[in-house]
Amino acid sequence: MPSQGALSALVAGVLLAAAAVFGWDTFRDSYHLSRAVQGVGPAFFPRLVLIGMAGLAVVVIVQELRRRSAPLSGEGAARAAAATALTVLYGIGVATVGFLLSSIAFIALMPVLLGYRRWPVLAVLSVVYAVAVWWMFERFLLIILPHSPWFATF
Amino acid sequence: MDPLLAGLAAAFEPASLLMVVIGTVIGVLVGVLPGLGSVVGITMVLPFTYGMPQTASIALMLGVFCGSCYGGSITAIVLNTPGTPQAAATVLDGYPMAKRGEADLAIGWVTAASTLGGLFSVLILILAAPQLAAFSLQFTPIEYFALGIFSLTCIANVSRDAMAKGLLAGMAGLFLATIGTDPVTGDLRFTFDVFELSSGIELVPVIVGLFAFSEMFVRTAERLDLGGAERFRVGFRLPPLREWRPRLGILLRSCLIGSFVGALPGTGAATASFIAYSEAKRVSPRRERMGHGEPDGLIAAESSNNAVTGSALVPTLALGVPGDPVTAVMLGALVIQGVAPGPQLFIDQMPLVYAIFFVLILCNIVMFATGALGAPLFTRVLRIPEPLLIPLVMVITLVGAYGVRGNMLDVWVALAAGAVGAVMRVTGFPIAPMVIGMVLSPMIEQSLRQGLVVTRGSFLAFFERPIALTLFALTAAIFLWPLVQRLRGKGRGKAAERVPDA
Amino acid sequence: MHHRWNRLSAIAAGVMTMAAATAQAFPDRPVTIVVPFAAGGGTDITTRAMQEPMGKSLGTDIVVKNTAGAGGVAGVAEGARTRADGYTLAMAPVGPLTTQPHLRKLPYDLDSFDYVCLAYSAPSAFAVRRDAPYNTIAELVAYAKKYPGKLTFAVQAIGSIPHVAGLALAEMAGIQLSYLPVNGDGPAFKALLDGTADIFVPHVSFLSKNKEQVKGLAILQPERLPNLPDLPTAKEQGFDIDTPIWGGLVAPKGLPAEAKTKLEAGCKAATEAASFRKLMDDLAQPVAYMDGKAFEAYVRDQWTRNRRLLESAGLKQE
Repeated sequence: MPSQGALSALVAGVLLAAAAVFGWDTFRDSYHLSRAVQGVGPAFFPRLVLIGMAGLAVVVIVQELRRRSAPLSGEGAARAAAATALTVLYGIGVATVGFLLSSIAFIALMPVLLGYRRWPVLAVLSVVYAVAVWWMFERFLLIILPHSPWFATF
Repeated sequence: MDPLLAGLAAAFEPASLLMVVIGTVIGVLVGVLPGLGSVVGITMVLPFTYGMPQTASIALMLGVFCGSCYGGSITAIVLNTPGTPQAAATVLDGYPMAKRGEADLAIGWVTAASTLGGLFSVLILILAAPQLAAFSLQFTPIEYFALGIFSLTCIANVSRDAMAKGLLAGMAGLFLATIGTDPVTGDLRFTFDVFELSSGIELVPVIVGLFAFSEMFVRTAERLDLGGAERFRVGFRLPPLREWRPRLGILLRSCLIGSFVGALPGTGAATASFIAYSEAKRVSPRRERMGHGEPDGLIAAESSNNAVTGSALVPTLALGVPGDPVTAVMLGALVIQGVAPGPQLFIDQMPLVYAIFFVLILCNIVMFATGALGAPLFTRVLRIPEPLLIPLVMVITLVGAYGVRGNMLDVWVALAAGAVGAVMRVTGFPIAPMVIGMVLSPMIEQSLRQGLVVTRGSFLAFFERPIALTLFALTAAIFLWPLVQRLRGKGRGKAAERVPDA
Repeated sequence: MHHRWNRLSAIAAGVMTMAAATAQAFPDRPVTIVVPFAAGGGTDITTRAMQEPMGKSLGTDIVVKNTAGAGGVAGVAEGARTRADGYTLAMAPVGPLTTQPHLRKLPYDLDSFDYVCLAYSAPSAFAVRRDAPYNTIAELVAYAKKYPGKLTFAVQAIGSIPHVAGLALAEMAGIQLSYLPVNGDGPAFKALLDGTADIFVPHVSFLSKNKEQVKGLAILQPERLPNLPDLPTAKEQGFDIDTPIWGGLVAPKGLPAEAKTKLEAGCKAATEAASFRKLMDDLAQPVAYMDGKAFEAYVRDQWTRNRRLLESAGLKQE
């Protein structure tokens, strides 16, 4: 595993690159309404911020590369990556098969991934909790959650 | 009848009392749920106010407002996630305290601080509403710009341990908020022709992602406790009086900050709590412990954000200018109720004004009771085995991100922010500065550009106004003071190098 | 194994036919109305006042959803892109329908919608501080000519109806105004009070609600309003400016006929309900209702007119 310093420098490097890309974007010719107003245009403030961002990114890179830091422990990284992937799948599930069905699946699967094995608890909890949240939002708070393509109400 | 007595009678009508309780409880719940905040809560109860008597409908809305300002702090303590943006500064000390096993005490501190802050602001509202309204009119775009720049010092103050990283995160936050439609000219910025981005990156999904999702992602990497975590104390514990005594100065200071910031239209409880926190971090004798579970941080964040509730009503009632989205909804509802806020309100409708004062006081008392009674339930969440807790929190977080605008894009934003937040936690980038940057960015940019319209393009004219000049000078002093101290310190021998804690 | 699958699929099929069967009668579940502005504004309040009576007429709940952003375009675009089943409508206001399309490329145009009804239309007015040294448009113009470049006009958004009104005034009178873009009525009012701006264009009800702080110079429609007989029209004063602030319900193109008929009836019932009328009275706002056909014709007419105004102000995108 890389050290914390190296990883920090990498993050700052990504921000530096982002600042460059967005800075370049401020020169695009799509800012046509701006002539209606006095003072500075739409690109002024973002450019100021991006310059600050780029400068600080360089400072962080230099600082972090000079700092000696222990390598991060890679323990659990695989599990965290799997959990993250499952969560992204959950998001995709909400968008495609609706909130309720994907939530039941997610609440049942995530604990398994994390080493939990009491099946009756999982079965009851996933259904009860998902339905409770769904009910609270749809019926009580009147915030309509994504539906599945198959049913009219969930 | 005497207007004071008439107001008292209206506030203590059974319908009003009932609405105070219902409103406050709903407010606390909405605040506790990550993502949903004051605005969602108040629009939720809005339809019910139409058919109600005047005082009862106001009681319902004020209850939701006060409750939601406080509720977010519980989630901040228990889950390391602010339930609302207002509670983002509460995380800094609330969660470390809970991690020590003292969630019950942390909730005691924030509940008491919130109630005291709320009551303080009612006092301000009673004593000085017209004066404060006049003061808020001293703030033109130029003063807002100066205040925004001053507030940026918060970023530096909360990232003492990793200054460059904190400032970089703050800059990234400032930038994120500029994506979307330019608030001044309506031009599209950084949308790369993706239409969904034209309404910008919403603050709430970013906050729930940076805090809640990232916290859960990081926890999955740890060796998880499959049983319940018995070391967490559940319940509600008020801090003893002797703990309060040395902290009264911080409390008073934070209440004042909250009341003043709240009275300015266009700023809100989130800004107030960051300014108060960073002020506490600057002046508190216990500042070295702040960020590691020091009550000073909780007092500063929570008394100031609840002190906003009373004073946010100042411009709303005394001028008819809503102070923030929440009071805008309330103003709309008041108009439907036949109340016309404005300077005349304090002359013609004193009974109503007094009723509002009493209702606010009652809301704060009920809020305290809700917190005290609800704390055992909320803290019990900590005893849910972590493998179960993680998906449960994630589901409610996802709904919170989705629910603000009812938009899948916000879910993706929250998940992306979760990944970013997890990387930040691992690499030791502080998260709060990014949120501060995002909160302040629109205010700073808009006031800067509006100010330039006012001065017809002259930036130098910004320094000709006394309030703005004072704020600029304070900012400079705060930024330069540590440098001066360091130069002095160098003469006396090198200070021990601080190790940034990840 | 086979048995189980058969049983499962039979249950699933049963549930689905049940869902399909109930779906035949519109509406069988809540109807969502997207409001393209934040809660608490005029559009939002009007929509929420329709919520209860319209729901009663339709026999279901109405859910109001605020999708603010991009000057109202984001919410209207959301309304244009949902399923055309009548369960999601947008309260489309004048700006996103008839001025914004001329300013930039949008993901919808007038043909993206089926028009349900015009729900409200309110006259706007020129408002200034109570203590301002002018009481008529002529005096304002004289002041602007005496102190060129001094007057600041607060606009709720570039290209919004208030902005169009200001542009029209400046052009007709040959004066110079500086435009200060703010985020809506509240901030515009604040800018007026703290002296940052000198004039702005609110909804006419604003004048009666805040009469200690502001005064109206002119109402921006051809006739005086019965509730405000003392407020002269701009036309009387020699400036033919007619910029009402209106909004109506639209649905994505392809709305089923049955749903359209029911929604039109629901909208009509809502605008006739006593509670809605009372709100309109409180706002000093005449009730305005048009059915889908009339509303569509009106929108197209306003679209052409605002295009001309923005073009002559040099704001239209080439």
